[in-house]
Amino acid sequence: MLTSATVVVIGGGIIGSAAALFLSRAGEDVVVLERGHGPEQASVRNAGGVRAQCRNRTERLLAMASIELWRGFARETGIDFEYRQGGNLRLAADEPALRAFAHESIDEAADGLTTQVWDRADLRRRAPQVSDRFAGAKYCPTDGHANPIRATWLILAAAKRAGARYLTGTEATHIDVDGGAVRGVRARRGGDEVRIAAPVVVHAAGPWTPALATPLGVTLPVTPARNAMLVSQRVPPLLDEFVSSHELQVYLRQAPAGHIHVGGVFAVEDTFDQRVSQAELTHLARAVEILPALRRLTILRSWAGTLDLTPDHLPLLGFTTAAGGYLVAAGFSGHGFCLAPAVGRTISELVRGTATSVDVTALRPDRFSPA
Amino acid sequence: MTAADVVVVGAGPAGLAAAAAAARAGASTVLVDAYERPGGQYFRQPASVTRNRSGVQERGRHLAARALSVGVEFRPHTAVWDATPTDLHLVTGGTVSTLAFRAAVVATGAHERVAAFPGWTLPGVYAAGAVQALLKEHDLVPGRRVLVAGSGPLPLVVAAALVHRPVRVAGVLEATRLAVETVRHPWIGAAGLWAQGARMREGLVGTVRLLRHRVPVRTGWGIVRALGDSEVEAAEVARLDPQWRPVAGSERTVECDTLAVHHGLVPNTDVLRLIGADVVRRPDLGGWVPVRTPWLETSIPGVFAAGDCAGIGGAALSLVEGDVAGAAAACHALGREPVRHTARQRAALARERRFQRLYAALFAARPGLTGLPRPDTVVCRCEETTRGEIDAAIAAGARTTALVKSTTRCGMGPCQGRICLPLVEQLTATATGVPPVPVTARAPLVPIPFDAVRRC
Amino acid sequence: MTDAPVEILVDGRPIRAPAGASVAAALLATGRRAWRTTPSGAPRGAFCAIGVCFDCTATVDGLPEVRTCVTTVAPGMRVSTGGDP
Repeated sequence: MLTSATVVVIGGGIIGSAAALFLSRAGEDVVVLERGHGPEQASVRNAGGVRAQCRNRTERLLAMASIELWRGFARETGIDFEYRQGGNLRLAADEPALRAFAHESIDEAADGLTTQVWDRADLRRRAPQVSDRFAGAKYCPTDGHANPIRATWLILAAAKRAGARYLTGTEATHIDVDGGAVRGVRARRGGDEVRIAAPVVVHAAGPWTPALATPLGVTLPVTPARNAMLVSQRVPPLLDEFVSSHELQVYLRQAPAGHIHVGGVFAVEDTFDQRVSQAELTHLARAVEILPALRRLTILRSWAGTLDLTPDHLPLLGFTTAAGGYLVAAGFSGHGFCLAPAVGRTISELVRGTATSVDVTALRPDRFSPA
Repeated sequence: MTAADVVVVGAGPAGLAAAAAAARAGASTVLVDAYERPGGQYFRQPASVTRNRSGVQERGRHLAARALSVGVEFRPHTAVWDATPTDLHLVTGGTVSTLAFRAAVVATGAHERVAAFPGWTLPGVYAAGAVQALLKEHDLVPGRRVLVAGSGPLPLVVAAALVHRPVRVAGVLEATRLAVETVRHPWIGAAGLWAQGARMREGLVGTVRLLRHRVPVRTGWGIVRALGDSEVEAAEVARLDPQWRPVAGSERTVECDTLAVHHGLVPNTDVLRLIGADVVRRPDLGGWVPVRTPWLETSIPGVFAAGDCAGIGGAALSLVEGDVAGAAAACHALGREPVRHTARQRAALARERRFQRLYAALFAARPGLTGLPRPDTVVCRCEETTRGEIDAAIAAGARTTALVKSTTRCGMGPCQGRICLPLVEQLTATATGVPPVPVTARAPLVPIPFDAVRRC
Repeated sequence: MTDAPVEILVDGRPIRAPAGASVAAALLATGRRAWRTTPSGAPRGAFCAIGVCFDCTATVDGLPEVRTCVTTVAPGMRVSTGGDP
């Protein structure tokens, strides 16, 4: 199969789909290559957190922009992807942690993000179902969570409506470069070869991105890492906030249907293997130390996704210098879901050459190369 | 014990035979079963100690006693919630434990394939095996006027047992037109029934009993919908074409308060898939089954599979497979060369596999079943996902079972898709033409308290 | 050994069942076929009776999502069908 486009997006997850959406709306002719039959990796396996607080500054600004865009999607489409701005609660183990939160709150306020620091008494009063072991918390009322499966499919459907062509069951095998510029992508679909001629490639294949970048002489410092989650039985409404504890390395939130989703701030590095070990399950069960009510409740299911980790846990976002027209959007290190809308818009701005709404110079892909 | 040479999962016919064979061969053997009593479904024991056992129940009791007498350690109430090629993670009540093994025989049996006809979620609709289990174990019938429908020997056996109770059997419907089908497959029929005297006798006795009690028995007929407000009040039935599709215009209403429905069995392969054993799709054997060597070893060294969990074949096949797998597992655990099958084992395996082929030819699920659920019919009982939602997900681009599960929540409930996913798989594959892939098995295989896992 | 009947409490009310009976059998023997409500309000009870479908669940002695069809009655057992743990 032979076709041409103005942009080929490798990876049909939420990052690739958001890019396809904004690029298509801007008038580009976009083809998305997804090797699965639909979004099946990190995009649909994460906890669905939509958070602007407690971030590196560039990510904070991207997150704040994304939240506005998520709200817009909810309004425009009328589709309920279970997006609830129920707040984000970062628990503090001790006084030093609380003091650090106070400093962070000042920085966040300077960017227009309102957060509150709660002491122990505040926490008892405002989140009584949370264990009383914590010294306090930082609370961001405009943060929240959504259903990552519904959200990803919503963006995908919008991208298709905007004209993007999706080729599923199609695995990109080569990025063709000639004369220092991208010429197109070759892919495999069943037993057939697919060739798409295009001057721009957006590479958004998560932890599978480096493999196709290496032949271009581009070394992307992205490491695969397994991140597990589990979900409880249905429970009557207990919790609006997305709650996390850095000390316990665990976070949780309650979905509208009642299930409590538990994830971990830990990952098993250097593996694409997605089988969850006993050790990971035991770690996740620490959620009872945040929410004692979980003790008698049952765990229904577990699963894992593969993160794309970078050395500083910040994404690689932007054109590379190795080949003209080659844009990398990977290494989101677990933050991809939340940031996707603003990232998609940024990619469109970068490709079209217009000023970016958020300055992402700090996320350039070659920032780890020696100067 | 925290370690054993051989561990056997499931104490039905295959598991009991495997455990006894392993222990006799000198391996330290632990047999686990989620239930209180050994026997599985076929040898389901009476709950009451004072009630008489049937001949089959007595055989089961004897098999269990023999396993214990040769040194098998039986752990009841013990479910497997996680498993690897070297360890089983078990849960009893709220307590977890780990059991390391050198070899394992998985004999987890099967559960019933469901036909999601409108009204199938009404109280009063049961899997025919449920009615049989309640009868065998508790001498109880969950209703007063029972219609039995579906396909295979089980509905007939259940109906024949019901006529001795103070209930009315409104009828027995067999989807396959047996006489016609047996004539179509004469060699399979003859070969399958050769030396199946016990089965043929049981079938004949059952049929005669039903006729004597004036129970209407119809072949080529099936259930179309269950009617009622908050429980079953009647059933709509119809004549079926050879693909089990209801023939329009032939519908009739049958008054009943209970439906016992059976459309074949689906192998329980979750433990095997969680361990990592390769499976292949064999619709003739009930669905996904493990790939096995002649010694019944799966693709995971030291992990064997016996009985219905490896392909629906009935109790007699389960017993001989258990025997073979148990001995082979012991050899693996003790570092010995595998023993050759005995002449008796070879003959039994050959005979029962011929029956297995006949069973498949006559009773394996046919396409008409997938046409029964209407757009508003619930397909996933746990999450209440309807046929319409599944069709919409497929239309929106969900082309595999896993993607349909992901976008409709089918299979995300406590039963983990055991009941609905075989049907979802069929609906999806039929609509998209994409060859099915088994859904990934994940721990916990049964819901487990947070507290129990925390203490691992 | 005898089959002395066992008394359990279902939603606070005593029910007698033969020793060895499953909780589901005990409920069915009283003529009750539904003891759970789905999130949408549909009545459910036993369906497969072999511990696979999870339709027959109730909270037993404080533990939620217990399959009544594979749970044997014990004297004083507390079964609650309210749904909420």
